[in-house]
Amino acid sequence: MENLKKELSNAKTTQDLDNIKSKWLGKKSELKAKFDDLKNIPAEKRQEVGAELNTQRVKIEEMIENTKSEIQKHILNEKLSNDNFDMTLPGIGISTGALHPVSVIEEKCIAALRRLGFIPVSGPEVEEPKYNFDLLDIPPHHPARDMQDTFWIKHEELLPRTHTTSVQSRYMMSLNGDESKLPVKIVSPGRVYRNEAVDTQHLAIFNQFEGLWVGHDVKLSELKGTLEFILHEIYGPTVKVRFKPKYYPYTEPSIGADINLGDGWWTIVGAGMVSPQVMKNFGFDPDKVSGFAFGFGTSRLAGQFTGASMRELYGMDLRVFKNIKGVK
Amino acid sequence: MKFSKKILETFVDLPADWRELMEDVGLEVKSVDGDIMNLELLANRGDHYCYLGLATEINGRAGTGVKQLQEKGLKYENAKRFVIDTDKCIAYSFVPFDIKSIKPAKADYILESSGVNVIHPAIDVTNVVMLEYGQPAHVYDADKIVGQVHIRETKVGEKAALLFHEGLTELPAGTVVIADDEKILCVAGVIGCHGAGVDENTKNVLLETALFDPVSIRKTAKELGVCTIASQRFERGGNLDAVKSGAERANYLYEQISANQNGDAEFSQRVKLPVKEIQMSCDFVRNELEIDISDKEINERLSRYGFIISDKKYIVPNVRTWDIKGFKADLIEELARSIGYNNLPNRLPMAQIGSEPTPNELRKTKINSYLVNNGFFEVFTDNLYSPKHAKLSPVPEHVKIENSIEGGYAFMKNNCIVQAVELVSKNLRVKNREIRAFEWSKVFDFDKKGIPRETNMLWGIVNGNKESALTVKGLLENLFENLGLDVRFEYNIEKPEEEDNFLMPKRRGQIYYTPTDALMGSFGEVSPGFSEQFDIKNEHPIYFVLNTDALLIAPKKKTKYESPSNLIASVRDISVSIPYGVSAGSVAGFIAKNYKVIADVKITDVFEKPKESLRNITFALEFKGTQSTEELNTLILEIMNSANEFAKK
Repeated sequence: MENLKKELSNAKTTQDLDNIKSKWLGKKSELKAKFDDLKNIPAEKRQEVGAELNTQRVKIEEMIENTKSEIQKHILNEKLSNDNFDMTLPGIGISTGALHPVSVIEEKCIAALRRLGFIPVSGPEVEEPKYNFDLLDIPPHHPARDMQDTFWIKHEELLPRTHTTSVQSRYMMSLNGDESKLPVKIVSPGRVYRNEAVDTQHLAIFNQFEGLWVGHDVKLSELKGTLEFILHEIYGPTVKVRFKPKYYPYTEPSIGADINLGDGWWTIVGAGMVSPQVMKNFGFDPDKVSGFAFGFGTSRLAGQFTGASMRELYGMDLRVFKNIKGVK
Repeated sequence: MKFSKKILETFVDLPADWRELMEDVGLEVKSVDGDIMNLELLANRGDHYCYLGLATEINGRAGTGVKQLQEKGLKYENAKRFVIDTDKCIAYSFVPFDIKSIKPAKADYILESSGVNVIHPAIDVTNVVMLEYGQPAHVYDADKIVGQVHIRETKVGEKAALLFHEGLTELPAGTVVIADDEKILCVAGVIGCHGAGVDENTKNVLLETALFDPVSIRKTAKELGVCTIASQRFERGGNLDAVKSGAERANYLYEQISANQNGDAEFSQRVKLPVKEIQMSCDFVRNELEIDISDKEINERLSRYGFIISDKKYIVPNVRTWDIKGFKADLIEELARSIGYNNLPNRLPMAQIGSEPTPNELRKTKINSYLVNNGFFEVFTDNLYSPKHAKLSPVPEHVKIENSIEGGYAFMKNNCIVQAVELVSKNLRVKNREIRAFEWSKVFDFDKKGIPRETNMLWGIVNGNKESALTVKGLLENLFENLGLDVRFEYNIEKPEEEDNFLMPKRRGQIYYTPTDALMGSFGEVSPGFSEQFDIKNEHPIYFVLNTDALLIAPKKKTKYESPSNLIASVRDISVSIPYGVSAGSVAGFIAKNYKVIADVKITDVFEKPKESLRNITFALEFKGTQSTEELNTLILEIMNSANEFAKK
């Protein structure tokens, strides 16, 4: 056993152990020979000798297994300590991108307005003056056409729309004055075009989000309530809201909604009751049918939420959007 | 527009919270600098462009009354010195004054606070009247006028010596002018002319007050590119009453500075403006505004704005005839402003049933999520672009903008690839090489009848160290699989779309919607020749573009659930040497087509051997059914040989 102990203490690998095991317990081992010799031992002593040999075998197996366990542990430790993996290297995998802040705002507005039953509709961006101006009571040379400096594809025939209100015109005209199709509750997000000088805060192409509710006996109080609801959905329940007079050719009365988040008042929404003339133009009797319309500059809201300038939001520098991703 | 608070207070009492009140009635105070208020006025309210208009609006809310300024009445005679020859001049008046002894007008503060220069006492008085009453007025040197004055429209080619302009300016035909027998004295309501101007030698003047057709003034101002306080006032519609009252106020002011009337005041009205009457019951007001308000209060509030009440009819004052259309809603707006929008009821509409997103919207949301989760940033590029962009476009015909003031917006875009590659270029310039971007966009072209039309597109661009056309192919394959759309990818493109010509021929593909065989989109590595035009070198951006309308509406393929087989399929790898120019896909197709025992062929490894101009491709073959090892070995040998033979051919 002392020899075995010595051999085991010199063993470094599991292969060394296999060799030791073979020598001490294998077919050519001394112990195996002793087992083989049991048949020559007198019957009365055979059981005693046999038991002794079994004890020896178990002990040898035990010593080898213990050593094996130590060697494996040593190998593992060595492997772990020699591991040169560098966990400070960058993680592997695709980092997520992001939707454009204007899309995020649009989704938020749509989600809020869906709760009131609004549905999104879209319309062409290349529009006829009829839908963009005339039906909305903005005739040629009306001062409002200055408010919305127009790109013309063909003068007074075709234009990139100056507002998404044109979508409302198209939708209302598609009803052919049929009151049974009311109420109408639509929102029309989209791009609009203005022929004006561009700077960091003013763009020729930007996004609007407009809504229209037309039905029977729709009241100014409901317009105010709806606007306040939307603004609370967007800015949270504690935001202060106030209303003030505004002018839009297609609404009467026309109002604006300002919000205050503690840093002064900001005009966010333009709105109003659909003017009787516009209602007539849409083919409905203004004495029977009423409605309200409202519009947000979603580009401006996106700038307000993210802190990015208009030019950055509509630029191509992806670093802007990576940085915005981190802004809560 | 700038006004003095001190002067405004001579017209109306202002409360302590004057700023809040003004904003509440639509007079937005943008800033206050000492006594000077900078106001943003509503575009339709020409009457707000003067102190009297502001005072009337404030009184509409406060009800404290408007203080009247002193005037000196005039007795008007029929016109002799002038003739109105056009309906674009509604009313006109001349009053002659002797100004030989005129003294300074003491009008420095009112003029300067609104940014108007002090020029000459006779002129200063006209400017004061404009600021006080909103009535533009003009003075001519009476001794420089030759013959009778005509208010007429110009003929083709007529020219005038406009103030602040060099030489003569040709006026558009039909421009309303004030002219004597020899020259044009003034472009009506817009700008004066040299020839009859007042100077230090002037002894007699003719004071002009008038009312012109707002559309005519607006057109002229726009065509001449001139914007004056007078044109701003006239183009929003002037006040017929102020033609006379403005002259009478001027008469008073002239008398104060020793300038006296020295002849008949003349007045002529060519066009009779309709009297607007609105019939409305007070019950209508209570129902619309949902407030308890007495008839008396309604009438009292409307009278503050100048409405005359007569037997449930409300007669619109002349000063408001241009912005009040004649609907009951007009009066509701007046009352709402008088009461204050914040003092009116506010409630949500009755219980509503919410709406659900449509399948198209849900699919768009799914696509957005997929792209964002795969590292893409959504961008918004302009749908208009410059001649430079148009020149780079794969399609020469563009929808043009006639009147772009910014050179960058001369054309509506007819492709997406130009801006996609420009995006790569711009990001590379700021050392951002890892690019994944997409946009829901539109392209504009003409239909067969030559009418502009628009098509919705989804485009994306990818660039980076580990990106290749295969990355984008994989992204798109997974996208369509996620959407459940049955599509096939084609690489041997016989009919490339215009944009496809800017993609490398052997690194591009087209995507077809299998059920209809309609082209759904394209993708591929951008050709270096095109990239280089954006100063992109040694980079390999990969572009894709999908027709959004097709993408969002294409029906999903119907699939049935199949339980996984309990039999573990036999899979064996084979390696085939494929010469350059032969696609791995064609070899895989050959194997799948010719060996029906094979359930699936996958390409699992590619080993390039450029010296031998070939690639060793490893295919993993999945076998159907149960074959013995010997059978499989025989089959694999056969497949390998035939595949190698196919590749060589």
